[in-house]
Amino acid sequence: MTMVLIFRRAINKLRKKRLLSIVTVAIFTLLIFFISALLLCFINVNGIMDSWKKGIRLIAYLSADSENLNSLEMERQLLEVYGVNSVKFISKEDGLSILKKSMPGDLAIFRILKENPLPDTFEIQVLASSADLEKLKSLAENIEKLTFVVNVEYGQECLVRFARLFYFLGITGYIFVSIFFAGGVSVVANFIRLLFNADQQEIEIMRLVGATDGFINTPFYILGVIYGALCSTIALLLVFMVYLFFSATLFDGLTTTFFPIKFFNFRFLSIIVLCSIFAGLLGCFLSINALKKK
Amino acid sequence: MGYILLTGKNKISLIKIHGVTKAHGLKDALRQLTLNIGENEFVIITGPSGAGKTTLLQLLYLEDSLFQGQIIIDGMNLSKISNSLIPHLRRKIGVISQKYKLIPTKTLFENVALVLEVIGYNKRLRINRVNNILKIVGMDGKQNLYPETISKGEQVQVAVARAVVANPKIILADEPTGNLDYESSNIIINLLKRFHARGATIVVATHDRELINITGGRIFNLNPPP
Repeated sequence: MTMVLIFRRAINKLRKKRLLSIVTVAIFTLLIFFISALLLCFINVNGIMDSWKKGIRLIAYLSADSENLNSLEMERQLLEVYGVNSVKFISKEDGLSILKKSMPGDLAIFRILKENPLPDTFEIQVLASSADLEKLKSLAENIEKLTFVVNVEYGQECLVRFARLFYFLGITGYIFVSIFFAGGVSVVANFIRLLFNADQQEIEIMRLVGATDGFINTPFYILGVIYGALCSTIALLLVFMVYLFFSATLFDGLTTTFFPIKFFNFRFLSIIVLCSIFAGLLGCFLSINALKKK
Repeated sequence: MGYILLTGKNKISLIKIHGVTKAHGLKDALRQLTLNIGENEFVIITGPSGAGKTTLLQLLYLEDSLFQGQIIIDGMNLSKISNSLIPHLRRKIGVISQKYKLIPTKTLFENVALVLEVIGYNKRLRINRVNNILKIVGMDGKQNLYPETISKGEQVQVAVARAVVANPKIILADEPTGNLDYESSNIIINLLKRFHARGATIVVATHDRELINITGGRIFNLNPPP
């Protein structure tokens, strides 16, 4: 019964400051929208990275005297190295043929070659769990220790660049999410402060008739919860609409062929709503605390 | 020298004020005040403007909490009371302040019902109790009006209703008849007498001679400290 009363008082406060409420909802929603959109981008970039990692292959170049060795034995030794998922032997003839196919036109260089300069190779597919830069480096070193391997290549430079880019994107994302979160807290805090000031006379009278801090402050906290839940719901709906739009136009076909562009799963949706509610509560708490100190 | 007035015969002290000094800036508003008020007493605090009547009442319900000395109300020592207990103290006291302090954005019903909401009465009890008390103070049928739409006399009547609706042990009234015409003053005086007869302890700060003569309460004359 008391909760119903407190909830009603919270709603009445919203009604009294309708315009201010709408403006606050709009700004808070927009901030949550930006945060959610950033998170969605981040999740999808992460997904793309994962898809890309799954396709990572190492090329082990074999020594010239490895021609005398049994390829099955070499394969067995390679598969024993931790992190190797599968291996495929590519003879130097096959290698040259692949190289020719990858080069357009009839290149003179291939005609003047007296003998095949390419070594035999193994194409090594790594386990998904070993597909980060440090682990790849260690894996390559372990493979290079095998006597029949002279060199291992895995596109180090490209990987380093990609890892740096991803790290930079991550840091930028965190900074923006933090700024927008702080903005959201600040918007709610200011709104509550204005409501509190507008109700100053009523609050003073409430205190005089024996109202506890809990009785006075709870409706404001409930407003924080309502704002968090309402604004995050609207923001997520907007993000979903934008996601549908991009899925249907820009990413059509591309998404299914190479990597799936995903929307938030239920766990992420819940986290966003709960974080928004937390931001609303935090805004209330900061505002009420600041007013108490005055 | 301070003022000393002990409670009347056979009365258990509900309010004990001992050696209370209250300063406003460099000037003392109250100096070494000692006063005991028994249960169900009707005490009239009188004295010229600036004697500290309002200040004394404000100290009793802790609107102002900075003072020297000791005030004990129904066993609660106000100089040592924790913040969490202040609402409980205030629920024992009904206050009719000089400015009535009605919330302009709430109806008369809501203004009075607020006290019961604070205590946690359910809706049905609130409606019964508030309608009943508004009827007693003569505001029946005006529940849905707003404070600004009624006369000052009626505003005091609503303030009285708000002060007594939760059956407090103590009712403090600060100049309840100030600026009221004779008829309105009489209504308020009769209401205070009625609630006194029901068992409440009434403390009225006033310089209204009529009120002092009619109520027949114990008079405590407060003079401004020299």
